[in-house]
Parts: sequence; structure tokens; C-alpha cells
Amino acid sequence: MDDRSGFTLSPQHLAEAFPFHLVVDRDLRIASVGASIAKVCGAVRPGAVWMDVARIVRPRLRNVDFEILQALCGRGLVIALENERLSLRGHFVYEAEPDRLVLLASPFVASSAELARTGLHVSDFALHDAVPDLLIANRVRDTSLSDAKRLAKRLVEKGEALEVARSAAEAASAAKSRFLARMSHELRTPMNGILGMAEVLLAEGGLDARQEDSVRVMCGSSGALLEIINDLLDYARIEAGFLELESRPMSPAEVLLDVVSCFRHDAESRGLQLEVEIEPAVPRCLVGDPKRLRQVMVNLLGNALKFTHCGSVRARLGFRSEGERARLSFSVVDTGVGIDEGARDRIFEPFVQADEETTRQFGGTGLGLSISRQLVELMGGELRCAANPEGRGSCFAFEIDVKQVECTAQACPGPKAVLETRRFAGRVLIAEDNAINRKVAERLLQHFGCEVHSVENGRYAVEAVLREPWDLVLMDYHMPELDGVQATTCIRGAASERSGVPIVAMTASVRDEDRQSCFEAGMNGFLGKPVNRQHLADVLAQWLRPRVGP
Amino acid sequence: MYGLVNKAVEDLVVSNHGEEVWDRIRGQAGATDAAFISMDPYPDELTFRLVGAASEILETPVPDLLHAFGRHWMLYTAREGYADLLDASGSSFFEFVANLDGLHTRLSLAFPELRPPSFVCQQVDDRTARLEYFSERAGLQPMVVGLLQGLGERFGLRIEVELVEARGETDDCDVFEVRIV
Repeated sequence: MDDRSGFTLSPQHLAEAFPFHLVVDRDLRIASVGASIAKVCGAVRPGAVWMDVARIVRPRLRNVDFEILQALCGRGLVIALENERLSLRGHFVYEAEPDRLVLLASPFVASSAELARTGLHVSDFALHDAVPDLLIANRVRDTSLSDAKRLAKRLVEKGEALEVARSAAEAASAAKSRFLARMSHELRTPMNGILGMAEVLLAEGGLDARQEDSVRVMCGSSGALLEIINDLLDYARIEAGFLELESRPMSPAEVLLDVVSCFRHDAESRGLQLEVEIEPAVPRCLVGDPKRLRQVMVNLLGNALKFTHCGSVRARLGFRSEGERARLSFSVVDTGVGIDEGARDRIFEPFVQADEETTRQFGGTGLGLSISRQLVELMGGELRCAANPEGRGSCFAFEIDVKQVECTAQACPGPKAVLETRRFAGRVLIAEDNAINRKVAERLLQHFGCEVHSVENGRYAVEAVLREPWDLVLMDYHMPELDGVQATTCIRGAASERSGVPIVAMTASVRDEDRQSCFEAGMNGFLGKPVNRQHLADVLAQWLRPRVGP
Repeated sequence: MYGLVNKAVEDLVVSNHGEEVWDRIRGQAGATDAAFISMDPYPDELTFRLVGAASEILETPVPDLLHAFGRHWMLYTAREGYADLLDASGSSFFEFVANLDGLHTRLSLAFPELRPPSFVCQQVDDRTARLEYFSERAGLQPMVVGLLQGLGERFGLRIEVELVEARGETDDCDVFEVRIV
């Protein structure tokens, strides 16, 4: 071959540079064949007729003769050799002397598998031929795709495993919640009998000093047991994310003073100083959750007194306002046994106390601080523990978010009047399937001067309400025939002038969802068991007239 | 080295000793990635740490592991989709070995950070060849022996390899005598 610079490629060099070349003469016979074609296509040999061994796949041609092939010079072709045994991609060049066409081509293969099927090897290609490189690149692309698919599959498997684990955890959590709710109900029901009857005995009087002391021990022990149950329930609720805070007007100072008054007697009897400091900046009214704030204060003050044998316990309430953000601070500093630095984080973990000696000496479930910390977190703060900066003892402190509110008598009611000694006039219907609880409720209500009648299930309650007038219905939740919610729904839906009778739930099912379903059914109030006399008196005061005279 | 090499080490360990042992080896070697990516280059040190950790945990000398890895490499790459490419690299054992440099040259286009060894094969007779092995990485001779024997298995042959000249301090060439048994 001769180019314009006079360079000539000998047949040997042509064969080396283009091992997949073909030479076709004017008679359309094969004049010579590249070695690599000859290796795999035995029929494509010198002398063979082009039409017998080769077919032009692209472009499509109706007829083939030398002139037609010559007209294709410089144009890309795909050619199948020997009944598709080998496909080539290339182009013709015309050699005027000795009047022939030379096909310069490479195998038209897309994968190393296809190449393997032809029987060719990488070494059959010219070194400058990029086809093997393309095949390797394709192989590498497939490897990357395999990696991607494998990783994606692994992700899916991990996702599925996580989903299975999540479902199992949710099922276990739901089972635990159901168990706790059931146990709470089962424990509260007999406790209602113990605590209620003990309170009735104390209220009715007539006991000698020794008997009264024994009954007070019963009351105290039942109260302690109730606190443990409440702690367990709170912990379960917080853990399950079910605990929601209230947001209503409150006086934080009054909450603290109320808590301190509960501990005052105990502190004084043990010779401890119980000091309270309320900064003047603390507003009289703020919006927050007084019940949960009180719970945390009770826990921290109770702990401080429990672990302090001499000296003092000091509670301090503060307030600061930064723009729209208002923060209420609270701290309790004691001169008690103190907590080792290493144990200060541990004591916030559930069911953990500072050490085993603490558990032996002071008892407790080890839930109080864990619950308090989580309540404080829910209120937008952090409960911290440190050493008493003034010496021996501990300091527990937190700050929480509060909202400021204009102080009105309505927004922030003062402390409730003590109603225990008051009496009420009215007819009260008790719907309660448990005989002991019926008797406790009857005795408590009779003590408050009420006229009482009891029924054993929800169906009887509906009949009694529609049959005769009542001033108040105290409705248990779980009862045979119709439960409290179903009975209330029947009463509220009845076409009767008595369907609007006040109904207050009185139940040992005290979960938030139980409370909510009572109100959704149309009940007007909710009393948890064991029934607290003060709370019962509050309910009676809301719905009954005060009794004048005996 | 490319992730494909580390994956082959993983495959060798997992197929013989299970996932748990591999997790221990990975942990001891400080391999933090959850999985190796075939086409991603990793530091040589990581591969050497994997082999070192495997040696300690499996209580197997490093040369034995490298030899096993060399044999496994041929099986592994064939299984990972490179069988056709291997088939297309030579129709006989010695042809394949003679074409190794060409194959590595072409592979370097797809694996731009590849630092492949170089092989010069001089066939002595039908069953014997003298193979010069050049590599910038020292200590991998047992792996070359394993590779040659694994390649022989692809052709249904038993191969004996003898190191006849070890590299010196200034020299990066080992010479093997390779015999078809």
C-alpha cells in the first residue's frame, strides 16, 4: 500500500498489522486472508468466492458486485463470515494496482464470552486493536454492576432484617405494655379495697390509739406500694413514648410549697432543716405541667431527705427570661451521704442505684431518678447531679421551658380547700362488678353523706339510669355484660331526659388511652383506683349539693 | 491493590472458615469498610494486614496463605465472570503464561492504578519453561507458585514450580523453572 508520502506496507506487514484483513479481486474471489480469520474460518481461504463465504450485514444491499463493493469504500461495514461464524466490522479500501479491494476489519464482538465462542484469543488481535480492551472494559463494567447489585441486595436484606427486628421489638413492647396495664389493673383493684377501707376506718373514727396506729401503717404501706406501681407505669409509658405532658396554668411556687409541706413533718421529726428559697423573679403563674413538675420535685426532695441523716435539705426555685424563652430552674442541695463521681451517671439508669448497699439500706425500685430525668427532658431540660458545692452531700438541679401567662384567679387557681370534712347531698349510683370495691365505694360515699345504690354490671347501670333519677354515676371500666364505656355510650344515646346524668369513671385502668376512651364515650370525669378520698370529695363537690345538717 | 484482590482473600477465608472468622480477621486488620468494591483501589498495606491477620487467626504461615491465595485467585476470577477472558488468553498453559504481559497491559487500561508484575517466559521444551518474574512487591513468590499451579488446573495439568534464582537486594527478578508433570 502506498500513501502520499511514498510509504509502502509490505504484504507481511499488512498481515501483521491487520490479522483480520481480506483481499477481494474483481471476480469477487478471495485473494488473500488474514491469519486470524484463517484460524477460525477454514472456508474463507484464497480462491473462495466472496458470495459463498461472506455476507454484508450492514448496509443492506440488494445485489453485490465489485463496483457496488467499491462504492462502499471508506464506509463502515458489518460482515458475517462463514454462516455467521465470525462477524467483522471494518471498511474496504481500493487498490488500483492490481485492481482489488482490501477489507481492513476487526471482530465485531461485544463480550469476552462471544469472543471465546469464536475460538479466537487475545493474542490473535493486533496490538493496536482496541477490541480486546473494549471487551475487558465491558467485563469490568459487569463486575461493577455485580458489586452494585450485591450491595443493594445486602442493603435490602439488612433492611428486611431490621424490619423484622423492629416488628419483633414493637410486638414485645406492645406485649409488655399490655402486661403492665393488666398488672396495674389487677394490683390496683385489691389495693382499692385495702386503702379505701383503711381510710374509711380512720375517717369514721372510734378506733383506740393502737388500732389507729395499725390502720395508719396499712395506709402508709399501701401508699408506698401504689407509688411503686405508678413508677413502673410511668416508666413503661415514657419508654413507649406514650407519655404526654399537660400544658396549663400553674403556680410553680405553690407546687413546691405543697411538696415541701408533705415532707415537713418527716424532716422535723428527724431533726433535719428543710429550707425553701423562691426567687422573687419566679412568676406567680406559668404554663406547664404541674402534676409532672410536682412528681419530679417529690422525687428529688424525697431522695434528698432519705439519704440525709443530719444537716439540711435546701430547695430552690428560680426563673430567668431570655426574649421569648422562659426557663424555670429548680435545685435540691443536701448534706447527705453524697454520690461518688463515677456513680453520678449510673444513678439515672432505670433499676440502678448508687450501689448495692444503698439498695439494702434504703430500698426503692431505682426508677424514680430515671423517670425524673426523662420527665425533665420532656419538659425541655436536663436533670444533672453534682456534689454539694458547699461540702458533703449532693446537688440535683434542672431547668425547664415554661411559658409565661397573665396571672388571673381563673388562670391560676389557688390551693383547693380541704373537703374531707364536708358532706354532700345527692343520689349516687355505683356500677362496679367487684364486691370489695363496691363495698369500699359505698362506705366512702356514705361517709360523705350520699345516698348510694350499687349495680354489678353495665347493663344494670343503663337500666337503673333510665328507670330513676340520679345525681351522679360512678362507673367502673371493666364489667361483664356491658363495660363502662359501652354502658355510657348507651346512656348518652338513649332518648331519655335522664341520658345527660353526670358519669365519672372510677377504674383501675388508668392508662392515658383508657382515660381518653372514657371521655370519648361521654363521661364527665375520671377517678383512678385506689380511690383517694380527697379526689372523690373533689368529684362530689363538682356534681352534688353540699349537705346541710346531719 | 484493587478491591477484587481483597474480595478474593475474603472469599478464600469465608469458603474455608466461615463469615465469623473473616469478621475477626477484618476487625484485626482494621478494615472498616463493610464490603470491598472490586474496581476501587485500596492501599497495599490493607491487603498485607488482611493476610497478616489471617495468618495469626488461622495459625497458618504467611507463605502458605499466599500460595493458597494464588491458586484461589484463578478459581475466583473465573467464577467472578473472567473465565471467558482467561479462556481467550491462551489455548495452552505456556501460551497463557507467554501472553500474561500482554493481558496485563490491556488490563491496565481498565484498571488505571494497576501495578502488575511482568513475566518473561522462555520455553525450554514441551513441558518446561524458564519464567522470569519481575515485581515491585517483595515476598509474593509463593503466590506466583500458587497462581501457576491454579492456572495449570484450568488446563487439567499438574504443575511443579521451583525457584531457581531469588531476587537480590538490588534486583527485582525471581526466576522459576516451571514444569508440567
